[in-house]
Amino acid sequence: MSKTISEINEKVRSGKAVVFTAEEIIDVVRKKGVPKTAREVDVVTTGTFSPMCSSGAFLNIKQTKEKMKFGGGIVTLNGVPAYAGIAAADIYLGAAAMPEEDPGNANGKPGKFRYGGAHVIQELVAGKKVTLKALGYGTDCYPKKHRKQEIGLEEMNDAFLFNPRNCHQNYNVAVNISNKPVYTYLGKLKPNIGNAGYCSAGQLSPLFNDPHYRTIGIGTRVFIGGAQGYVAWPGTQHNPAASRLENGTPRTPAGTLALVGDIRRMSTEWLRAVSFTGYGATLSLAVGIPIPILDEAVVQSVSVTDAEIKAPIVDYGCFYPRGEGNATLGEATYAQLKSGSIRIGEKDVPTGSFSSYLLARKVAGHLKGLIEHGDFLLSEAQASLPGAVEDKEAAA
Amino acid sequence: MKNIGEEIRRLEDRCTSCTACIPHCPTRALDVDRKSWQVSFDAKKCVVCLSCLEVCIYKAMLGSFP
Repeated sequence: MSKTISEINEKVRSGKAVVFTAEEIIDVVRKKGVPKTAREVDVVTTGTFSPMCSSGAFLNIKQTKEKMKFGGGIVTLNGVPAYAGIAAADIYLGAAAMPEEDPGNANGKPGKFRYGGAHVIQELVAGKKVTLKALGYGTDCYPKKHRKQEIGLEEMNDAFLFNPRNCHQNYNVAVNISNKPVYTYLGKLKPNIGNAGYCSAGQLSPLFNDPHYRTIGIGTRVFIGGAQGYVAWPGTQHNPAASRLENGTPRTPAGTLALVGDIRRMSTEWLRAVSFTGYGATLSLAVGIPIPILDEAVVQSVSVTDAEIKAPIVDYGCFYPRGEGNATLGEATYAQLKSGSIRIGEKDVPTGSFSSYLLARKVAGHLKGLIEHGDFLLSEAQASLPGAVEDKEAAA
Repeated sequence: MKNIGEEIRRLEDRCTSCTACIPHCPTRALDVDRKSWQVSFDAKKCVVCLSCLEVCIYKAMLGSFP
């Protein structure tokens, strides 16, 4: 027996859809079995809340009476440079952008990176004004050459996140085999494998629940930062050819998603700027993606547990930065990572996550509520992601 | 007498309970309940090493050495 997204949406509209989170469905499948779950459940919601590197905002700034072309000029928001080489009024503010005067990691000291592009985006989402400063060269149609103004979302025609790479399907567990601390995008790593950093919601994470991209594709509606957005494209570095376990989940970083969403509909409950000491600023985001329960193969995929998915343990002291030494030091399941300690060689190594499982649960639960109340309809993907296995037998 | 750990504060509205700080806290003043995934801070156990201030990406830990 199989269902279509259209049939599922009819149930969503009438408030009769049966929805579970990707965590809850594990017990449902244990109790009811796969065939009965496939018949009785309509949607499983996934969720994640973590730093989403490769994020940023397209902003279209309203013109003043005397018009100005930003393109080819210089634009900053609260001192943070935005990319202006697009057109007259469009700019792109990257989450990792930093003010020119930020010291970075000068003098061998790990920098604080207290205020970058992500912080500007957070202030805009919070309804605050930021200082726009722009220099242009002036044209006959856009004569203004200087502009300084306090602007918020009201002074913009459009403001949307366009994130080239979010929702990594899996990610490295970072450790440091060198004899000095290193500061990375997986946090501070103590020398001699003193700790391990990881970043995934594991069994709640969107692409772990759709390992072969059967239901998540280009055009899939998603919950992003508090708004409804879409999968715009495969994310940069999307690599469906990664080595996989028998259950289809990748053993290394694999699929990624480029996501788009309207900033005006976002809230700081679901979007936060972050500063990694010694590394930089970026944006933490809530992303939730519903998985339509089309058939038994989809049930198999969404019932995957933390004990059944693995991440590679990678040395960020020598191998990752310079390619020296061993590529991986082993693998750990997400159940092991979430226990607080993993075994590497003869050593028990404490683990810490940058992905909040507490908030991943909240995201998946919130999306479940939206669907149950008919406020979030599922969408048919308009095109598959590269590497998608559309055939249900092949995916099973 | 004031406990030394009272110099350090955890701002609950900033903390996402991600657990990045946990392996850096030498006294388990910062800990997590692995069922609810709620991170907690016990000032009585804190020795003000300030490690958490360095590793918290949300700047949820505030304070300084007295």
